[in-house]
Amino acid sequence: MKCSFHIPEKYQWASTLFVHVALIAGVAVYTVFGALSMQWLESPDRVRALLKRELKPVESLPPPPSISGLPDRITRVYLGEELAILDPGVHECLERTILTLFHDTKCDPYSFEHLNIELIDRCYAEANVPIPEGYGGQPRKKIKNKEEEKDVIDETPAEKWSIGNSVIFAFTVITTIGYGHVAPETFEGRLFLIFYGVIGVPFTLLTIADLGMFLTRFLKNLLTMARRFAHYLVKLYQKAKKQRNKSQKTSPVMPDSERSEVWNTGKEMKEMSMRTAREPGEGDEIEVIENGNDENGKEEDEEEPENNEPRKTEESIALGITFTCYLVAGAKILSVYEPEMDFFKALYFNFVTLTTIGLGDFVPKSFDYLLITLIYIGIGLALTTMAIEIAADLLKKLHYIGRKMENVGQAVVWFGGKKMTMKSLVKHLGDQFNIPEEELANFDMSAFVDNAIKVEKGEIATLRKPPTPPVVFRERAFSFSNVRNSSESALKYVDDNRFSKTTQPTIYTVIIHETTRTIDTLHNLADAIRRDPSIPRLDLDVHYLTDMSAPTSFDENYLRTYTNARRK
Amino acid sequence: MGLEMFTMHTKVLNGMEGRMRESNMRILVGLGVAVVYLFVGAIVFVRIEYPLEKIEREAYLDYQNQWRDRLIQLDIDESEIDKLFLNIREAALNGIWMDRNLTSDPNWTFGQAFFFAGTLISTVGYGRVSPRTEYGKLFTILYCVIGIPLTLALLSAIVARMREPSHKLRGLLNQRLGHLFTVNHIQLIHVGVVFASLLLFVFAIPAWVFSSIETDWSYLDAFYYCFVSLTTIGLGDFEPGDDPNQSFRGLYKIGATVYLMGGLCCMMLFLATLYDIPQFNLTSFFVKSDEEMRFSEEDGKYGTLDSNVVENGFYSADH
Repeated sequence: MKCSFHIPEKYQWASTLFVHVALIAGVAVYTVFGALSMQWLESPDRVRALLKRELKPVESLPPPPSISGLPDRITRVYLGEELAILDPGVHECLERTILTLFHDTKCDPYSFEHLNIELIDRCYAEANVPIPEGYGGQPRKKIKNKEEEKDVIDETPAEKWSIGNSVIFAFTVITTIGYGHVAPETFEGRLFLIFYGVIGVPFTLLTIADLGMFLTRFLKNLLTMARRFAHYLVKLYQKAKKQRNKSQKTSPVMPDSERSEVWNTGKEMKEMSMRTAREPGEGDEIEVIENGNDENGKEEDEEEPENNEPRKTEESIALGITFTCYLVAGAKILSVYEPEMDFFKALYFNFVTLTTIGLGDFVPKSFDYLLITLIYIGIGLALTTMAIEIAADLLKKLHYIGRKMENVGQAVVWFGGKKMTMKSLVKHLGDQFNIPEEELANFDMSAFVDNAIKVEKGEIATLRKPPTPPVVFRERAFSFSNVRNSSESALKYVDDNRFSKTTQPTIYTVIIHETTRTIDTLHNLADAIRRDPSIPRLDLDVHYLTDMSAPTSFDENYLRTYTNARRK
Repeated sequence: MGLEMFTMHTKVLNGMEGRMRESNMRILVGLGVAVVYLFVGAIVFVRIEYPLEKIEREAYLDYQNQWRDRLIQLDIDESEIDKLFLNIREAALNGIWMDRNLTSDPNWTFGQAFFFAGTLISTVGYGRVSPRTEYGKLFTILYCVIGIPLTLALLSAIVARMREPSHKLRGLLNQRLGHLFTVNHIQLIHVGVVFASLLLFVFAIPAWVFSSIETDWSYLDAFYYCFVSLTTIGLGDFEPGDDPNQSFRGLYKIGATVYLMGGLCCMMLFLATLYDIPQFNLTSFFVKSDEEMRFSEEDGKYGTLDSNVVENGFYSADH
């Protein structure tokens, strides 16, 4: 059986994985397409043309000439000794300046404070310092750091839409995170973004929702395995306990058939109520209840209502722990390879990103690990979907606490992709069990659901109607006298008192003479009654004599009469 | 919010539809709680973020005064101008603007903080203004853990309420056009009407209003802003109320927040209406394929999934 079961399961997982992989690959291709398109639309030529167009009215003002050389400027720091070696004139200039300052200011603090720096700076500004090319290792490294720092501060249009920035931008647009660290500036760029978002956002959210369902099922499988293991342990404990109590056990109170019947009833009601209470579209699996032993059925029946609530609580706690660990682990990893982030900033960045708020004050800068970051964000969004869904369910329960359900028949139950109202479900159930249509038409759905909820809470034992008490035959022997007393019958019998007074000598005579043959006695008795006109005719046909109960009672009456006759 | 729309709409709306009859008191209480939550968030952000900004602003003013004195006395040097521009850029990146010698409002006034809190709990997140202290960041995390599910539940309840006129419209279309078109066509017409209404009242007219108020924005810029906001992308390159000359800034920001929440409800209504059509409900398609395989595995008889298979599967589990 396992061998046959294994192949369909593998086939199922393969197909599901294929769908997931196809969706994820689609999102990846779409992201790259968006990145390349934005990079082309926001190229430096277009941005420069746009700036030139916008700056036309301002062209009358001459731009300051010193600003044009700003991006090319490189600042270096020299020690005084190095500068004296490079240009001896600086030393002489400083000497003359200091003597002049002392002479002019006459050591006045205010004048000295304000005049001093400007004149000394002028000496340094006039220094003639050549830029050495092959000076040494450290100065070159210093220059490189300076250039890198400048690039970070002043992003030129060419590097603003680099490959890394474009990919991050496209991914954050279709996932609705939206950092905003780079944004389109041209008309074509903004128009493209609108259409790109209209198509990409639903597709991406569909993929992430599908991934979320996949992770949900995986998590539920883990919980199911854990629960089965716990159940197995409990069963072992009960078996040991049962062997201990085996000697003390007496005969069962109920017959086995009735007990199993009660157990089946409980299962059926539980199945119906669980289906009603289940969230539509969530957990569409139909749970197959395992057939346990009849002896354990009662105990399992009592245990399962308690397990219903802890199951959802377990799922919520497991998901919360998973999400928290995912955030913390991600923060640890990000703080390793992102230059600007320490642990807390990485945690803050992860939270802002995975909830799709995307403030943009922190943006991933390490493009070597960009793929890892994007995969982390994708999986994290799926986890966030699950977590927020459970939190919203909890809030909905708070919102509906103490509320009574109205219009129960219109509640919708989901079976996979199909949905069905409670009313039609109960109707089909009644049709399955051949319940009369009039009874189904008069069925009160709201009262039924209220009572079912009470059964779930334990206030009512069951919804099944109490059975009629069985007719006991063994207390007293059946006799026509009792039947005659219970039912008012117009039929008059031979042994009534009023008839016995008038016909007593005749019957006794016949009985005395014909004691050897019972059948002949009966016929003779009939003839005797027929002969006497005062006695009404008693018809004893053969069909009546073939009944099982009649001869027994008749024989008893006959024996009693015979005994009385013998005494006289 | 767009992320949760997709997964939650079918479950919440169909689960709530026909099961509960909403009382107005509950909706009003929910709205009151949400508004109070926004107020509290705004006040807390002002308390946390304003002191640091005040310190930075005072330091910058002192710096600017020193530079003004120097520029008056001395000639302009390249290095000095370089430092000036560098500092101005850093201030701009931190959200402090000093255009045209105007004393603009600080970043963390109540109106702006209210708007910021609204963008947080709706997951729009412009990022133009963001918390810069450690406590501000920590409070953001705690604030959103509670606020995002609360907002989602409230918006779902409002959308369930909004579906009643939508169903009435569909019934009216069935009455008027039932003899001309099939059910699928009427559904498509219904979705078209809802989409046209959405495009007109949620995007076109608000875009015109924004472009009228904001002098720098063209109509495409305003439409672009509406799209980026209501899909909760929130790039932050356009944000209402950034003009230094903007009058009634706080009130304008609060109005923008109200527009944001209302627009999100309308977007969710449109998506819910769209997913009523079986052809467009892609989620059930993927879920169905999984269920179909599971049923075929269990029963072993049926190749396709239909209602009879569901019933048989249901009863075979019991018997």
